[in-house]
Amino acid sequence: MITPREPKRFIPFKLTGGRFDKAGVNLDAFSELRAYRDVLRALARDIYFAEYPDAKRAPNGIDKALDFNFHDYIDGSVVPTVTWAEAASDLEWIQMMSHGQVEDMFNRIIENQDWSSAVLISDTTKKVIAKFGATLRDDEAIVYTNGIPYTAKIRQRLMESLDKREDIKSQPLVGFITEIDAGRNSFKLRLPTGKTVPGEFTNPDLFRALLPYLNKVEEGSALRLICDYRLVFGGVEKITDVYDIEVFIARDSPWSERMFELIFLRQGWVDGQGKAVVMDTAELAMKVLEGAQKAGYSLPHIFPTPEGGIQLEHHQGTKHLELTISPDDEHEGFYYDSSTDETIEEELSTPNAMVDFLGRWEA
Amino acid sequence: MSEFYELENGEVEMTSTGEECLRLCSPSWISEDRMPSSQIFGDFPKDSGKLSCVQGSKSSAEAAYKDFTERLGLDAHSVWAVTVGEVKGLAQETGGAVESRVVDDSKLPDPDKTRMANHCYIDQRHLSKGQKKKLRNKLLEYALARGQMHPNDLTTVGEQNIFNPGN
Repeated sequence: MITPREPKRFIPFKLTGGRFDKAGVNLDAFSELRAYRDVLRALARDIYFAEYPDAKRAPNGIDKALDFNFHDYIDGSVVPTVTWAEAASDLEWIQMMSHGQVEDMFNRIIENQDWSSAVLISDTTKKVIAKFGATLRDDEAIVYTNGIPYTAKIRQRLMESLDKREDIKSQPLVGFITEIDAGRNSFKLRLPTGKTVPGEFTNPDLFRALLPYLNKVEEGSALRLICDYRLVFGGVEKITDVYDIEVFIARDSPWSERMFELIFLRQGWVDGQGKAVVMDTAELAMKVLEGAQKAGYSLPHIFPTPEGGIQLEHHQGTKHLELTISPDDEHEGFYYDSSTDETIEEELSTPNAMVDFLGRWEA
Repeated sequence: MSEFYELENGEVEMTSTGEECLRLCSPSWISEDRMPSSQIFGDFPKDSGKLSCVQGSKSSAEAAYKDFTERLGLDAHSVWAVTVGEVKGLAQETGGAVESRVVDDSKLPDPDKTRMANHCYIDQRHLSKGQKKKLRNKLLEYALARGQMHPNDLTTVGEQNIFNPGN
């Protein structure tokens, strides 16, 4: 006899504080589970239409595939365990993607960052997102696997941003040009978050300036656009004009590939935590690497830090050098030889001082 | 030298010096030539000075990797290790600059089931920022000398054979 395999249980989130720390399950926990399911379903449609832009409608069975059954809860806080209600082999990818995207999106909302990240989130989805957490009281929270709490206060901030809807920013944006339309003076820019946004420019000379950078993302150079853009619901919606462009990462340096990897890192890249690398930090790191290369120093290994910074490292036997470039502008150099306990710790405020510190490795 | 924090009820200091403490490494903390960052032994914010590891006597490196990536659904590139003896010997090795210990906290309640199976931690709570930097680099030294524990399809860090550093 073949025994059907039991569906894999998972915990979408836990509810903590107030009513949820008492014995049993407060009924509002089920409202939140249902609101969560509605967010999954709405986001799954956005993901599907981003993947298949020519599709006229979402696939059959998408709502069934994005339903789940409550099985059990772990007492203490309310930690519900659920399974997908239907085995959906052809839609399994969308189950997994929407589940991951929801968590990523709420991480961004909690961190007050651009949360309409990898896919263009529709207005319908935004309305559904606003309903999640509606039953929370001030002493309660919804907590995802990375431990960061979504509280009534954070939801209030989200609601205010939804009411505000639209905001014009005048700041540089980094990304890759994926399309240009000369007739309409328009283009598309892929942001490091993975989202592609439309843009326009009034200066016709911009077409010729942008054209050399129109490539496949994998081959192209990352550009920094000095521009105005429209921010809707916390996410870049459209670039309304471009004043200048400059190459942010060119493909001709030994660190280009690595820097590309780092700027594409998503929130939660290490153990479900870890902030995305801050562009100013990436730029400073590249300036330091360029200085080290010019000085003829051996190039260090390049790593992200959980705070959104970059750490340059050398290790050889008992000798270690770390140069930490932080988004909060507190940059530190650390040299340590464990065989002699020789230790050098310095605060470094300028790129030149950082290059000089890397030079210690050559001594 | 600063004093250790008191252990919680149910926590036990590990004493078997040859026992390995397995540490998972994020894919972003491996360089192109497969050198791990010293940050894999750093004080990660959510650990609050308790550097999360798995007891090598109870889990293989492969089992720890599977538990982390499949059950907990987190990303890992590889598994590295230091021994309880190396951690305990830090004080002597560093001339008293850094002291630490390995604590078995696997018996503590884990209501959310978010902790790795057979968990233990390397204690950094009592250390200053500078001491933590020394600790992470010294532990990296040991881990590099031992080589990558899992997966075993990647064999070199830079010029060094990481499975058999003598070769």
